[in-house]
Amino acid sequence: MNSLKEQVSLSGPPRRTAIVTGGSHGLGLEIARALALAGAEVCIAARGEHRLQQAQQNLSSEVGREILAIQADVTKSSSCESLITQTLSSFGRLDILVNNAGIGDGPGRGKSVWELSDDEWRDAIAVNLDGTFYCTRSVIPIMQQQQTGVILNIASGMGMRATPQSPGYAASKAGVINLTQTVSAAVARDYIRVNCITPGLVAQQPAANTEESQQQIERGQFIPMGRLGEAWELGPLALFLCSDASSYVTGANFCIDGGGLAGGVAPTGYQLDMIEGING
Amino acid sequence: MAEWQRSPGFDLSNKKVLVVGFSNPSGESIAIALAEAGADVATASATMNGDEVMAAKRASKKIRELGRKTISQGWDVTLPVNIQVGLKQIIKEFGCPDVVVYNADLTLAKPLVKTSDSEFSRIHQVNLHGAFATARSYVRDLKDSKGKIIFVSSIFGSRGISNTAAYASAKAGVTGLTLALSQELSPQITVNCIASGWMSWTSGRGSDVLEENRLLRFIPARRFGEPSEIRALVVLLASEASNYITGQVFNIDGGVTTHL
Repeated sequence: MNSLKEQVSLSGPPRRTAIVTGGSHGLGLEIARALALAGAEVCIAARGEHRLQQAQQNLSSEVGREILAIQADVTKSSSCESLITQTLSSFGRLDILVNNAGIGDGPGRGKSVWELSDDEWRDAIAVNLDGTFYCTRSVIPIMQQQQTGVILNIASGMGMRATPQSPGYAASKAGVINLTQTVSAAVARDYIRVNCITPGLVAQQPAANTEESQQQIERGQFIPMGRLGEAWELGPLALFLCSDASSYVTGANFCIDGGGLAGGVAPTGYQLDMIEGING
Repeated sequence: MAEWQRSPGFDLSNKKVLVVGFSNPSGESIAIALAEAGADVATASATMNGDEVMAAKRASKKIRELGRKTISQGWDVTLPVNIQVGLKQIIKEFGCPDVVVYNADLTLAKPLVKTSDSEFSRIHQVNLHGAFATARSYVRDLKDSKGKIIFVSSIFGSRGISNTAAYASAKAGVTGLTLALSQELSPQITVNCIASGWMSWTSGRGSDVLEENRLLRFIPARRFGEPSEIRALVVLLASEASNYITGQVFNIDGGVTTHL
């Protein structure tokens, strides 16, 4: 039996290889960082070239190994296919796909369903759901041939609960959660595992100034843990789900949300002083 | 820009953990993994069944061999006073645990009409009431310190399966306990639950040969889980890197609960 250390290592043999979409900042960069530090060869992919190059340089110097960076637009299936093919030809194998690319702050953010234009609806679905589907479809034949592989999708608490706004975003993330389950059932026989992380409210980077810090503190007050999550906190969980440590986990949705989704039926809690007979 | 204080996910250096429940092979596997990750680990059986008490002691012996501090006790979790006194003694001799893992597991497979009151009650006492009493004693003794509670439960608490009225309702109770305590004890204490699926020791699983066992073919992973497949998540949930995770029930089940 492997030791715990071997279970959570990605350095092999064979050394695991990973693609992280939306890997140039925030959650994606932190996940890429955790996988790279655990020994994986990592390719980060993103639309914006400047930020991608910056992330590549910083991460490569931190891990002491060259990180691959490929510009890609996950809303286009041809771009996803080319991302997968290029990474495969660089690394020679493909063990891990992290479908993290997503937009939350698109033009449709905060709008009600009757205010949403066709394009605003499509924007969220295109990046969050289409992108996940395209990359997944492209990578599965490779993983099937290898008879091993891990796909990790990143959803959102808004895909599990209702808010009055952002229906496109919420529906796209709910789609990601179900796609996780459906794909997991389809590829389990090929020793491919497919799981999902659902973050709650998470700060993408440390507060840049006191005003931002104050905003983060205020937003965090409504969460049972009393604070926002920090993007790095997804790293260890992603490493767990991408490594042999989770070898019997598939089709699962792991939430990291400071307890938000576990509650939600009474923001005040059960008020003891309002119930005769319980108090004291 | 201020930097974040990152913590490694699988490092438990300077942590103390108590593991309760060694009736299945997962208990030992969890306890040893925690020690491998750097924690001192106290062990306690959940019942006074001789095999379980010895399993807890065996785990402690292996923990000692890894150079970690340990202590082993025989508990009967159906007696809350036993838990209370046992925990106080552990705190005195070993130190207050930063994390408590409740892995007690007593199964019963019987049709509803053949399940006696005392059987139902015993299954609930070990699986659910013991979890409640352990959490209560722990939180009382923690006072204002930070802590973590990890329940190891079963997917039978969230999906129906015949002939498990007592067991399934007790395990569903552990899920409710996880949800309620996660809200009540935030932000001081995180409370999470791992629900294991069909494991290589689950009674009533049938043959290990794929062709002979329809259940095995129904599980997407097409095999039963092994003890070593629970432990890494326990280590992660025990670590500082999981401080933002609470109120969760994590299925480790080879994909079986994704089925329609």
